[in-house]
Amino acid sequence: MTARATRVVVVGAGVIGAAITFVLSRAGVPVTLVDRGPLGGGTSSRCDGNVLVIDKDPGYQGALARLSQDLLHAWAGELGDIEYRRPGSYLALAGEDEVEPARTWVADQRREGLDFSYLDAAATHRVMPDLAADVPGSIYSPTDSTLNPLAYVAGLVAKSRHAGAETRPHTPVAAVATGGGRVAGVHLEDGSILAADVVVVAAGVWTPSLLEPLGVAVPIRPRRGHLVVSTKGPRFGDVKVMEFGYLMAKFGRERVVPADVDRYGVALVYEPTRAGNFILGSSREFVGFDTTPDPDVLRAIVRRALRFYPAMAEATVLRGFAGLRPWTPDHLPVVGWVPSVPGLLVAAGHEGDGIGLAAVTGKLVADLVLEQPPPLAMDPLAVDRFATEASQEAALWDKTRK
Amino acid sequence: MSPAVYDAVVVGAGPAGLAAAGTLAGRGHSVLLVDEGPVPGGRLKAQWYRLGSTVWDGAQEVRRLVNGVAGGATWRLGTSAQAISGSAEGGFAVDLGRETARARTVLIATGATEVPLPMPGWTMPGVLAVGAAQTLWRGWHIPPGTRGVIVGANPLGFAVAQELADAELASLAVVMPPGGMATAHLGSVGAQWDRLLALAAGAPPWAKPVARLLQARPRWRRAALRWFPSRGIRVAGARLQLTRQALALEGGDRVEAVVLQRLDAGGEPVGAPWREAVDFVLLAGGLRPLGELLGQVGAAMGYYEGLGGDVPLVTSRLATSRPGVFSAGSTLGIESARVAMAQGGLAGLGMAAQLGDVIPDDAWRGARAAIHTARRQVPFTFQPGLEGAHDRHRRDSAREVGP
Amino acid sequence: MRFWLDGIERRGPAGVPVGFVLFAQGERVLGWNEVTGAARGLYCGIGHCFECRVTIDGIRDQRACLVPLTAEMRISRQTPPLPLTFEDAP
Repeated sequence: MTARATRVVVVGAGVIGAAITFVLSRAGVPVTLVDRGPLGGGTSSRCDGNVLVIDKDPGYQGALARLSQDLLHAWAGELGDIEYRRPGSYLALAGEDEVEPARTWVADQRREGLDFSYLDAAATHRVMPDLAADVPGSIYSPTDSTLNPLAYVAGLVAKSRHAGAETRPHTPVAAVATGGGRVAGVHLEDGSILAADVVVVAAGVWTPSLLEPLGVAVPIRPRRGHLVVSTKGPRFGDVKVMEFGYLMAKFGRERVVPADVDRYGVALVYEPTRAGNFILGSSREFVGFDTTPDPDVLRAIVRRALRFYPAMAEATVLRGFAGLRPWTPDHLPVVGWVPSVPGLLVAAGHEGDGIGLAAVTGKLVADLVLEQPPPLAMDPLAVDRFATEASQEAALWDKTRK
Repeated sequence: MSPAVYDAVVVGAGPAGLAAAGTLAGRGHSVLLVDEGPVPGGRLKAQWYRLGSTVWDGAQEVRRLVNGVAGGATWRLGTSAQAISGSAEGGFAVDLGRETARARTVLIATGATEVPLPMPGWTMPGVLAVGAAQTLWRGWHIPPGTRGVIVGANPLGFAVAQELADAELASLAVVMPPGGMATAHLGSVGAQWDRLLALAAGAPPWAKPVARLLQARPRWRRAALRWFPSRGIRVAGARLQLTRQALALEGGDRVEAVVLQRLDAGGEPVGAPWREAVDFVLLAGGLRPLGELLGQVGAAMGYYEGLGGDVPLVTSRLATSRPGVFSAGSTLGIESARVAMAQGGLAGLGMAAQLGDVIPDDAWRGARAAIHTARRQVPFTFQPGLEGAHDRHRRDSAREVGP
Repeated sequence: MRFWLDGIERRGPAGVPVGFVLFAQGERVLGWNEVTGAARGLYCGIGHCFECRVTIDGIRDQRACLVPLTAEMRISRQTPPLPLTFEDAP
């Protein structure tokens, strides 16, 4: 199978599928991108525009995110106006008990070669004058960037089409087609077959339903997240700010927060947008595929934001909405060949990092299809790394308990 | 008297919501009526037109409906219903911002919203959605200006043109909207003329001359449009200029001029565009059902061109797919206020039944008959293909939500 | 009855929505777009479009078309914020 003759079908036109299509089509590979709904209408339309390393584990996860930032920075100029900017991001501390863990976090990240810095109270309030006076410090990562996710997907799709890719929105895929012991394409719900040598399943939270009929289990589960959008009005700084407290669990410490903040997994995300609104996050809940917004969760998000930005009380909420993050037990995406079905690739399970990791995922998948060496080891992303059900359950339990 | 849990929260105090509240209150149920507006009535209160020898006075109808509710409901005017959560079993919580109302049943009767008609300059002050002029003039006796145009030749635009007839404007013209991507959903000028033709059978009496003109056989119509006076024909105080198209609106802090283009009988531009001074512009993009809360509660919806857009699928008692949540009025499809009132009556019965009332068969029959009667009495229809859409909506509803 | 627009004394009828009172008095501009700075005013008149947002008695983003005028009401037009900086942060 030479790369040149390979026909690829990418299932799922979210940001991951769009980035894969973008890299492959620019390499001259004929790609068809299919989605049961509109292009970029699922999780990629219900998220913020964060492209972060600041909250990644030092080591592989950080390196993956950092690589993606550089790829995106190189692409950004050619994707049209995707509202890309790189203001860096900050993690604000909620109390003195977070100071030592935060300094340790910065030291660990610096050891891995990332340019993190710790800001004391004075420096923090100089950069973010709207933060509550009792915020004792913050962490800064200079490479973190932001964009408009809808425009990003649209830009990737437009450039892919320009390079010859075919896009087929509103085309539901019924199943992956196999023949002769390998992938043959996809069965569409209208009964026809879309033939392909390689099928990439990039269907986010809907990925397991396409793989299960083939006996392939990937433990991706929908994890609901809410976002709040303000009206266009006063802004509370131009930089992206999140809270360090959510990482405290990594240090084995209790997070001391109000009950609803704890119940809904709420952590501050503040993201000013060029349109003049700002976005507030975030929440994390396992409630199946229900994306109905829950006013209680939205209120908890707003209350958490007010703890860090008391002046935000004068702002107005425009709307709130919810989306489904494709969660995996080890918080790394699943990117690689399916060993039992030659020709079948998976690229899904990016949880809250789909926007940030789309660029590197596109690059890695293209390297696999084109049989080029990837820029970093892919074992940690392997499809079969969740070997036994027991270890999956253990990992799940470990990550979800408080 | 505000119970801890209302039997019904009615969102929208227009004709549908008021009628439903009247039915529920009359049967002894506790009702909370919520509306964003400072006064009840929704769009109905600004409706006013002649029907033969009689006059349809929306404000008077609103007074009648409000009297029907009387003291039987708790009012929350100037209040937005932001979200609905909960269920029929555990009770609903309606988020009203400053308070949360608990309810056993909910009616979503939020009516309709105007379809935007984006064109160059449309965000300038002095450019209004056509319904705003209706509210300003009929509601508060404030004229929209002195010289203006209505962009968009459709029933809503015609209706407002007629309602402005006694505003003593120096001039008011109805012209075609610009072409291009932003108005692509309207189709070509020719397609819009065809739609007017399809609606002409149900045109309001004052528009009959135009209706007759457009109802002529296609080749006659083409000839008629060729001879259609460029200055337009005078209809109910406005000049209907079917062969003029607005290309752009100009001005600074307020609209000062409209750029116009003459069209030939095929809808193609002829000659050079020119400017006319105006001090107001009304954009008539049509109406579409406003179902945000229905989407928010996760009610099953369907798209029906003839009903004006996305509407909930409902049972014959107007219950949505979410048990305990009902819908009536323009939220169910763009129809007349009379139909909305009749639907409100039926939804009120449906909610009463949900609350445990035993409704005799003849009451159901009467409520459904009232909707059919109201449909026959419409002064004009807003959308072509309304009946076909009703049939499809009924079929889809029966399949998805039940009888 | 007295009210205040941007700190300047005015008179108007109680009970009529603020946006309509100002429209009748010839005030077309109720605010400026937060991004472009272009003037905005009354548009839909029914609370849907949010183009007529003003600050009333200290509370931002009140829809002028929905709030009835009351005595001594203080109405102010909201000025747009500064544009978002795009440079890399310090």
